Amino acid sequence: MSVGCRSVILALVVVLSELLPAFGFDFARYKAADLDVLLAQRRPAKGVDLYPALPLRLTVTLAGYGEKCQTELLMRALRMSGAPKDQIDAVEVTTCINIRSARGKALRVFIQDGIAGFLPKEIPLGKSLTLYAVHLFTDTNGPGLLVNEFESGDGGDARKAARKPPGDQARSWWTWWKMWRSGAANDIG
Amino acid sequence: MTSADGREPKAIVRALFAVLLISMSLPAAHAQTGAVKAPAASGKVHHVTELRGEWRRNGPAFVCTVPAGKLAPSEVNPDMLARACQHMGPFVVGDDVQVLKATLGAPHRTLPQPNGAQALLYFLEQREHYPYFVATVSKNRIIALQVTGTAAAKSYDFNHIDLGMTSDALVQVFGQPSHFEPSEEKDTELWTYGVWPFSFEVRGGHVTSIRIREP
Repeated sequence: MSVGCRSVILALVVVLSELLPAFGFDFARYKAADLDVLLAQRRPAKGVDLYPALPLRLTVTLAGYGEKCQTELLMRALRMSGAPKDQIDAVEVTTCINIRSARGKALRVFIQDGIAGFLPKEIPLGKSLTLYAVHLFTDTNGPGLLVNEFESGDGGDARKAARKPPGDQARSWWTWWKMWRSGAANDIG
Repeated sequence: MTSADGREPKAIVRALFAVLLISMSLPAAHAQTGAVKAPAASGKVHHVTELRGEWRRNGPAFVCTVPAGKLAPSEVNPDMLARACQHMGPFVVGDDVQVLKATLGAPHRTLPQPNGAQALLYFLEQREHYPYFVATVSKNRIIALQVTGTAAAKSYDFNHIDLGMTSDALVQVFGQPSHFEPSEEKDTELWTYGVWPFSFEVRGGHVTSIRIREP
């Protein structure tokens, strides 16, 4: 291989290594929020209030691992948000987890299936974790949150599930590729 | 469709005025008055404005964009602008009730409404069948307009939305509603947009009613 050819490959590697993180999870856009404050917000007397996928960072206690749950309202809220159909179709959510606020109030939240699989391996029940979630709706039961990512503790951990190699979880390589290509790697909303 | 008249504080009306724009760059507003002509030239009727604009989403808010048309800026007043996007068929919210009666004649039904208002109902194609049109009037002025049915009622669209259109199309034009809830109609949802003076009913993924009211 010529020196010129190696230089080109090296340059490509450098450029790609700079670009790829840009497709990863954007933690910075999630604003710190207090789950107790969120739970205290006004709820509609009937029907559903919709929100434009407000990105929130919440420190909570894990009260229950992922269980299958009804996601019809969540998917409707996503569709009504006007987000591109292909992006919505790429979202795989069939699971909810139970969390508790600092004041001990319980809430069930939606979580992306690929992310939910990591919880039992990384977070013991009753421990604190930081959720990166989008607020999509509020109905009479409270806020409808979709968890896109989590970190153990108060968010200081370096764990970044979105950057784990494909095959390290249930999600297929192709699904990952589709999401990376769309720039939506785990970051819905 | 449930009336939301009188729910909004005055500040919202002022906010609405604040976002009204006159756009020189737009083509003429979409003709929604093609099939039925209102006798605007009659001296007895009061057509609150001849301006026709269209709502456009702007972040969480909406902007009523009005082509400059033939009126000089000095001839345009805030009342006209506030209503320029609130038109359905040949009528504008705020029109004198005489415009209604001169155009469609006597209503097929009259229904009493809260605060002394009246709902004047007209079947647009066949008696006792969809689509029907309702003008709510108070003190001889139109305060709300509504069209209801399962398929498009000719010339009674609103801001590119026709009866029968899909809810996806509605989202494309108006964006995400701020709230939805079960309507009084079976299997139907009412979609509302916060303080903005329009709402829609959706059944089976299709628009079945459009209502506009005083801004």
